[in-house]
Amino acid sequence: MLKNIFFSFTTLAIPFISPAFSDTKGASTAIQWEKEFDETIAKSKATGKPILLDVFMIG
Amino acid sequence: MTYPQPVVIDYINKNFIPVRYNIQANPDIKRKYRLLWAPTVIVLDSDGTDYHRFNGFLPPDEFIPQLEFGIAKMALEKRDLKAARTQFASVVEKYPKSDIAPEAQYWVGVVDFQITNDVNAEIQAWEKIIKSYPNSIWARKVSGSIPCEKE
Repeated sequence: MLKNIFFSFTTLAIPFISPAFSDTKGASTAIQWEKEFDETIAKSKATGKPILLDVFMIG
Repeated sequence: MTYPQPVVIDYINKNFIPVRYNIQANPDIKRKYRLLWAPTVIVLDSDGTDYHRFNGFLPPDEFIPQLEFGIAKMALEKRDLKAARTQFASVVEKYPKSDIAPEAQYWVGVVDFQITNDVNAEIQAWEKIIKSYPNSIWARKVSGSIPCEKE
């Protein structure tokens, strides 16, 4: 009986407890790529951050 | 792949404004940055001037040191010697096993000389290349500049 109560409690509680222990605050799941070069330059000037230009090809 | 790695995503979002182009669809970018092949990654300043580039895919433990090296080269070319010194030394300290580390140590020596105008400061930094990276091309580059030990 007690075992069943404990199991039910942990099953219900895990979804609420997990976020509290995970370090996802402010973390991005993807790189925030800019689309326009002029906008990239403007953001770089505004933030003082350098630009990472990645050039790829398909195929 | 390098980009899906959380450590790389976090590093780029924190330290750069990233922009991405398909080389085949952007001839202006290809021409402006004299691009020969892809993938190519280039570190630019806020004016779009390029300071460091590398080709091909790299794992995170080589990719991030390359980007930090690019920031150091930018500081050096802008004559912010203190920032350049800190950044080059940081590459060596944080990523001692990366391929770019011996080159970063080489530039530590260059910057030390430019800051102090003392050739011994440069030699001291370059001796670390001989000691820590004896098989690198950078050890061969500096070996002629370092005086032989007295017997």
